[in-house]
Amino acid sequence: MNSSANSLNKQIADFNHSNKKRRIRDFFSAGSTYLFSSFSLIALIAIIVFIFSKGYSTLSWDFLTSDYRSEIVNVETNSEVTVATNTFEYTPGDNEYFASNWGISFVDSKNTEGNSIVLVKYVDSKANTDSWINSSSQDPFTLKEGDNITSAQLWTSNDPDTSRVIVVSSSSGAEKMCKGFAECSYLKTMTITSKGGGIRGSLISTLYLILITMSIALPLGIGGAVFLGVYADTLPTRFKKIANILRSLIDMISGIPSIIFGLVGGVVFLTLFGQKGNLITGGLTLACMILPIIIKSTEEAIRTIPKNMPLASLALGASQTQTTFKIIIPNALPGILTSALLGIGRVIGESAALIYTSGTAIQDYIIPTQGSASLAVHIWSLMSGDNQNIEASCAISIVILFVILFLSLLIKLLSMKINRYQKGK
Amino acid sequence: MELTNDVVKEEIIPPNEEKVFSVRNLNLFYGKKQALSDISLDIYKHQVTALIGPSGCGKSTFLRCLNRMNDLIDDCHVQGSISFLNEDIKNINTIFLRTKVGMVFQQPNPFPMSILDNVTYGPRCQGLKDKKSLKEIAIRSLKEASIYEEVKDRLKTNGLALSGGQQQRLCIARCLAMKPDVILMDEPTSALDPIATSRIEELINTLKKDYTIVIVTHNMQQAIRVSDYTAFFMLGKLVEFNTTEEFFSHPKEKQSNDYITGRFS
Repeated sequence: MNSSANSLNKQIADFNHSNKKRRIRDFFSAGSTYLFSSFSLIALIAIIVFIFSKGYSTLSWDFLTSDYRSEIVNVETNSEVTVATNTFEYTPGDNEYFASNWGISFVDSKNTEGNSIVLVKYVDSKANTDSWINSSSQDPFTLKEGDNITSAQLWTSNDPDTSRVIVVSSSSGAEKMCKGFAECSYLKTMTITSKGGGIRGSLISTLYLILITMSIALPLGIGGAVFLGVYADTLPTRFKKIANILRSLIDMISGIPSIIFGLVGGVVFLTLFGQKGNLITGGLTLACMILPIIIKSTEEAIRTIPKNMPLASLALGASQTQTTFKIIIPNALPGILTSALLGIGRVIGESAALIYTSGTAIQDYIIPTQGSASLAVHIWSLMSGDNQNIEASCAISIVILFVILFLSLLIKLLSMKINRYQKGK
Repeated sequence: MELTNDVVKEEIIPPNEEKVFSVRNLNLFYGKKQALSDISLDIYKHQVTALIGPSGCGKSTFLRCLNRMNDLIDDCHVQGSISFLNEDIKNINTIFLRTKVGMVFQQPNPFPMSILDNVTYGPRCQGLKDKKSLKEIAIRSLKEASIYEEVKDRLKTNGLALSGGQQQRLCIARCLAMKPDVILMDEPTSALDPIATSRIEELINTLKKDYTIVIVTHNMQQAIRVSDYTAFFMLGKLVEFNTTEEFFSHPKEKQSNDYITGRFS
């Protein structure tokens, strides 16, 4: 009894001795995994923090909904001059300058591209005169809050011979512009610029690209996956080689850099559908690019369906095709949705494949048969010129991040619902 | 061996017994491996035939020959003849054959759809669209499978929400909706608890009035309880085929005797 207890004690002592080394080794091995994972996490967080800190100030509802190109309206008067005779009452806030004879207040601001501009902060309801007209359309012009007055030519008196001409412009700042307006009672011409720099056009063309790409890639991809996952198994053995070759080809294609897709798509689709790239050729190119992703993950989803589910269908006298469309595809739906999300993520983030195929011109009015930049290409355009606009690029990045976050949440929710329904809860 | 089988059959077949399946000299190969060798066996109308034997003896493979589910497996080729109601099954379209010869699997496998859709799946695949007659078929089949009372208030709920035993009876109902002549059951109770098992066994006893049933089972007690005929398979060969009573009380072959006593001693 005693001796066995002694021998156990000795064994424990031996174990503790040898275990010391192991604990040191374990500490370093486990420590390195913590270290490396925290590095990668820090890198990720740093990127997101950078994007948010740079882009947050630019991001606004206006940024999302306004045109990229600023619209310039020249305002003239249909009589000789517009006369300001009233005296308006208004209490301007901080850094706001009020020209009481016109009933207009001005503030300094910045446009979405970061240049200083002067905005109209307040217009008295009686301030507008019906003698202002839009010189290009000859329609009556109404000054609104938020308009950006680029320049104005004002006269101190009605008589052209004795009058001083004062020209104010947005580069001189709100205070000077207000002073100019306050001094003069006669307005000759005025140029109003809408804010511009918005991403509405790029946002819409991205949505168009997603729509075009998915409506081509999803049916083709699901078809290919059903062939590989269902029908290839029923082929005679010697034809199975074809399916295997197809599978390795798909693996290979998914590794091709996207610029090569852009190059080939640019050459092939542009010769097929005319000389200039447009959203349809861009969508076709992206569809080719994401086809492997959709085929692979859909085939995987098909292969994870319990084997006896399709067997039960066949044993009930359903044909293979009925089984495929009534049992296999509905059951693979969560997997198909996930693959669609992966595809949409690629479409939103893709720039290289689109530069040749749908153009880099940022447009405001989107027609699928015309080339226009997607959000990612918009970033590329903003950063590739001489005036790099990091703030706007980061703001677009935030938009892309949120779109992808929203999509992934939506698809998670959908596949959870489907899963739950299919499990009978 | 073949001789013995023939002799056995001559002894036990009452002349008025109608054959549904008649299997002659069936050989089945998976690639080069022979899984069934020289099986000759008859399945009688409105009788329960149990197929027993140790794992891997080929009884499930034999069962799947009867509705040509083995066609779905690569490298599987069959020699010999199986005739279903005096027609060689090679000449029958597989889809038609499977509507006449239903199958219930080991694992309950309802489709992830409502109970109603599960039961009407077969008729819908045959092109029946009329909702009223589909519902009538569903109710008839659910009643036949003695599950109607339990699910009549929730026909729209998902089939997978039922318990294991209910799911298996739902699968039987799904099979009955096709009005088959024969129901093949591949160890239908091995995934179920004893209470669910006894309900399925009761069900088999009521179903044999209208249907011919072939059941694969590991459980010899179950074979005794539910079957009229028993076929004992071993290593891909049919060792003995006899009425269940005769087989379990006076096994003619030594292998059968060893198998029975090995389990019961």
